[in-house]
Amino acid sequence: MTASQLDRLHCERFAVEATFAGRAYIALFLSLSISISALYLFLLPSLPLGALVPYAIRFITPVQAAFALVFGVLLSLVVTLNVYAFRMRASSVKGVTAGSIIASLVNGLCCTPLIPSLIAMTGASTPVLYEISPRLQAFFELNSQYFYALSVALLLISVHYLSRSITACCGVRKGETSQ
Amino acid sequence: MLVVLVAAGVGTYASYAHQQQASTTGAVGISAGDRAPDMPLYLTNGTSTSLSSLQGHTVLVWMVATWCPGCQETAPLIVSQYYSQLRSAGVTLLTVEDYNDLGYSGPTMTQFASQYAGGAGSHPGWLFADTSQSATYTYNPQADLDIWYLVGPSGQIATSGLNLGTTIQSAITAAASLQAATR
Repeated sequence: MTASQLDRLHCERFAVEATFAGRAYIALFLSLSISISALYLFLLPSLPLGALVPYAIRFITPVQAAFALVFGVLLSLVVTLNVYAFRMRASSVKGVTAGSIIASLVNGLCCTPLIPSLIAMTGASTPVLYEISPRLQAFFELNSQYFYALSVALLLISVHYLSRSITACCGVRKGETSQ
Repeated sequence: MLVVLVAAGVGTYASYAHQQQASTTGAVGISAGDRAPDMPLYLTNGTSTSLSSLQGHTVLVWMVATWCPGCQETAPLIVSQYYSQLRSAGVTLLTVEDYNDLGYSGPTMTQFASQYAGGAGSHPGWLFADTSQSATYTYNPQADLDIWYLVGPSGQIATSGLNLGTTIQSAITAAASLQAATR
């Protein structure tokens, strides 16, 4: 591991340690983790049905279950770090996080009328709809695990940028307190 | 961020408008009140028939793409929660695979029935069939993966909808009304 990689790791470690020094942040992180993970455990298998239906949890796949837990923890970490960054007047990260949330919901594009409706709104004829719509829906369904990976990657990027922001903002303060 | 919100808004509106259109007018492909066009049916037991041969029965025509996860989730739900209600309302459930599975390879109808509904023939009054391209275009003009029509004993479309797993209760209610009206 290079020196710069070690620096980056320390940056993230410092940001997380600084944030979780407060009990309120720990409580926020834990409550959000549990809530978001639970929501996604129900939401992911429900999306192909077109509505949030609790009984759909019986159809959850192992990949979806693992993703729901990882996503819940990481998104909670991002939100908690964002709150801390805001209070410390460091810059926050929003766009990347929004992208990760969208990527996490792509399997909702399969089986629901969303894609057919959007294509139909362009005035496409039935043969054109038949050519495009099922292929698009199948693409999102069959590749959903890659979108889950993209979603996690975007959240990790958010954590990284937030950590840098917090560390840059609070580095002086850290130096002051360590003296 | 703004682009994301606008895209989400347009998508939600389009989907909502499509669902509303389907639920209020039955206009998924054919309007409520219209006579159900005949549809060739190639049953999983190897015989051929047509929708018109089921006239006199209330038929829930459920058109699916067999690779669609929503359809795969809905079939076991019907078995465990709704089959007896449908039968009590006098419904014959007809699951029809869209022609050529909408151009994307999925399980055959026999495999679909076997994997998700306990097998074709295991539930009386539940038929599994393939159909023609023209019938698929007629009943499913927007290439939806999961749509349904309730056809009354007279052969008229009573109502229709999308995503049967979450809208089946309205089909059961409409079927019960049809049953009460014919008594």
